[in-house]
Amino acid sequence: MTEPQGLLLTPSGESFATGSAEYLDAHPEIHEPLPRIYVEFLPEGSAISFMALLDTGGHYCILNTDVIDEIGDRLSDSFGQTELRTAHGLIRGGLHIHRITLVADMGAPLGIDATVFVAPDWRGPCFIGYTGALDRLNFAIHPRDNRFYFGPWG
Amino acid sequence: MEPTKTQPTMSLKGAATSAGAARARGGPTAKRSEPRRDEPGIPLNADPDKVAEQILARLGQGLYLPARDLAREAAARFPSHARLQKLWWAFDNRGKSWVASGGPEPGRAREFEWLRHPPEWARGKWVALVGSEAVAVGDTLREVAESVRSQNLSRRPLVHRVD
Repeated sequence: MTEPQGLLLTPSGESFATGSAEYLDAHPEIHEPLPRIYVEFLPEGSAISFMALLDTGGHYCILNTDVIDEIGDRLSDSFGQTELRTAHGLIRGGLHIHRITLVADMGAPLGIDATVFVAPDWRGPCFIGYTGALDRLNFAIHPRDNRFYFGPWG
Repeated sequence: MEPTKTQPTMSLKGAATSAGAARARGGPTAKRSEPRRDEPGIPLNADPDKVAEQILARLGQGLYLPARDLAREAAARFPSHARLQKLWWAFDNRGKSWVASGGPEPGRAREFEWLRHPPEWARGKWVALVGSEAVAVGDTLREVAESVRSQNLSRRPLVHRVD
């Protein structure tokens, strides 16, 4: 199989990003005047894809309870309970490992083994945080075109 | 060698020698530089289950980096302890992404445009979009997902809840 060519390269000529997708900069679920970065992702075990907020200051991949229901039995057992401070207060939940795919409209999609935080009643948006998710890939933002670039590392 | 449970329990705080020992044996701590001065090590007689709880407690306190350091050290100290290995696996970000199968898909510009200006009837609903067409609408995601599965659509829809 031929390696996909990089859409973006490092200064040394190595592939940095192998895929890219347009992102949505406003969210109909959250009425706020600031732009955000919402990207399409596909959780393993789901036939439909969803939007998640990129949160470089946040932890884990946090999935809405209904999305967790859609994944169903494909979600691995929790390997620990912990708490997370959010804008909505302290929430308690379990940590799991789950595969998600960033959907590409240029280049190739990217698979990630993400650490997923599952809180029983989290009805808010899905998040892709830095630790446990974004720290596992190369990524870059092009605000002029609302474009998110991503590629594997490690 | 894991400690026996007959040995006296020590506090995790203040014991600073085991990180160096773990590094000397190789394993997850081997590539680290010197430990931070305030970093507690794992005492020789530590109970691995309690160490796992310590890691999770640090996470709960928002102490991600200390939790990661402890998880790295614990994985090296207890290589056969499944939960500690899984905890370290969850922290270790190396080799966790790859180019997935399948090529690029059509862009979502029309779906995004719809989501920027959703119609009034969509408020409070889960909506499955393919282009600017709502192929399924419902009060619950389960309902929408079942509808999507029954339609044999040519393209995977983007599903979202509109408030």
